[in-house]
Amino acid sequence: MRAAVGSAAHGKFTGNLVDVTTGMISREIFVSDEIYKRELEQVFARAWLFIGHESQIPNPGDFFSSRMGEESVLLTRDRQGQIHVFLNTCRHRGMKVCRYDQGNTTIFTCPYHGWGYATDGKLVGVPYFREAYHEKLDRPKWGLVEVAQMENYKGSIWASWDPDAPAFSDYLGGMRVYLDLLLDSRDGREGDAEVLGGIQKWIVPCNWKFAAENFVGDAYHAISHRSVDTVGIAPGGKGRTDDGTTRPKRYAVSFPDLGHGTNTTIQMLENEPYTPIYPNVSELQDYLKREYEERQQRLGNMSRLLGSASTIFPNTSFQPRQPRTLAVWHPHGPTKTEMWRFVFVDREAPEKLKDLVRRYHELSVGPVGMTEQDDMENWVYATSASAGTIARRYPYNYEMGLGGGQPSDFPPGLISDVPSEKNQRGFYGRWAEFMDASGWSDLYPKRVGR
Amino acid sequence: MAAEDQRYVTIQDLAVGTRVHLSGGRVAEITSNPRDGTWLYVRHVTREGNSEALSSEEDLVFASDVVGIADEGSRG
Repeated sequence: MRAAVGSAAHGKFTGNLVDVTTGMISREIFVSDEIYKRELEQVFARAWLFIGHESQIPNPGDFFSSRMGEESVLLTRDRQGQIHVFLNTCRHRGMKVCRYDQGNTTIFTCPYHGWGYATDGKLVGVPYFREAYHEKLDRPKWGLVEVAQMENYKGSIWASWDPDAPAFSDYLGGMRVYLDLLLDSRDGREGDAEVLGGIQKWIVPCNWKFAAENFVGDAYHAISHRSVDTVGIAPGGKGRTDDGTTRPKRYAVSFPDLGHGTNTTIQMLENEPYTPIYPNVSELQDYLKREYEERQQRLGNMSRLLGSASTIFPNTSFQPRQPRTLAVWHPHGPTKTEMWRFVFVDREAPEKLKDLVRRYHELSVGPVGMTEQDDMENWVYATSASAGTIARRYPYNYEMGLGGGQPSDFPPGLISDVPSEKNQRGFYGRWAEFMDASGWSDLYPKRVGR
Repeated sequence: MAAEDQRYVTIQDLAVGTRVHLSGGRVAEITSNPRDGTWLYVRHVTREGNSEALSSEEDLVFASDVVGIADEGSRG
């Protein structure tokens, strides 16, 4: 399959770049500058994107610098306690009005000419307003640019630049229950998580989609992590996790009409007795056992749903179990991605557990995490290999499990036995729809299934 | 304050409660200092006869409008 960038094959921009019916994906979509520029407009300026978590901005005046696509945005809590997301650029000459990662302030002052913005985005300070503007500048018109839509879902903050995007709950669809596994307390209470410590940020020479597709449902790259499994990076010193799961069953769960996907694990029995989590940390066992049992009581059958690596289209991935993290794959160019990792813990967890989680996270994921280093190596080489003059003539194969999948109530979604590449086909199918669509009227509501 | 001294007012170090002379002869009291070296939140000092009051509205004062320190304030 020769790439057909912009050739309008089949009457679409994506032409034959993505063919989910045969499982063929052109390498061009991972390296083409033209495609990348279109992604920024068609995907990142439309989709709901993860911004941060309210635990990062608990007090009035708190802010956290985040990103949407290539652009810097500010997550703020204003003096009245309201949360906002603004483009981090002065309306006067474009300089960033905030160059800190996070902090607390009463005003964002542009370092170029000094225009000052309150944490609610209002332009409150204009140098020489009386003397040179003669008080005629329409200050309310020149506040910070605010996102078209923002949602606080169980403490996680999401935003979209597109006023026509569907409500976040509709955008999320059936994927919600899997995101809940990250955001809810381990004992089953709703939304009781917090972000632990700072955010790991690093830049990798790869296309952002390789990371997103890895989490959307790639269940058979475990061979990449054999060294980690052998070394045993879990706190107990064996394998990659100490999560106490017994008799697990894994499924690939796809939401192809929305682009989301997850590999989830379920326990076979509803009343599975507690098997020690972090078994070599004896002083945490009472707490962990009580959490486990309260979860069973609160959630009943749903407590069997444990989750695993997941992606919410387009670039937010998470792992709700071990280590419990969220990753955002911020695009910097067709072959450059800024990766962010957030660590989540229960707000009320003992400090001993938080410290254990932090150390485990550092050992496993992020720029020095042993598991993520394996992944990064794959993504980097796959990206550079996609750019070859000869290599880019040959498509990638996503045929595994072609045609499979069946609707399921539990685990909820379109399920396939693992391994399967149905989730990846769903992700790229949705990506192609975004790239071809003229607006949200083409994207939602839409036919179900593919 | 002499004109040549104006440039020595380092506004980012001024404490809340400090009163400053502003261009045009006004005096204001600092209510919040974002410490960006550019802006100060103030309330203007108004005088009626022998009594003195602070404006109810907070105002934002630009660095170059601050021409001197009136007093260091009790909260500084």
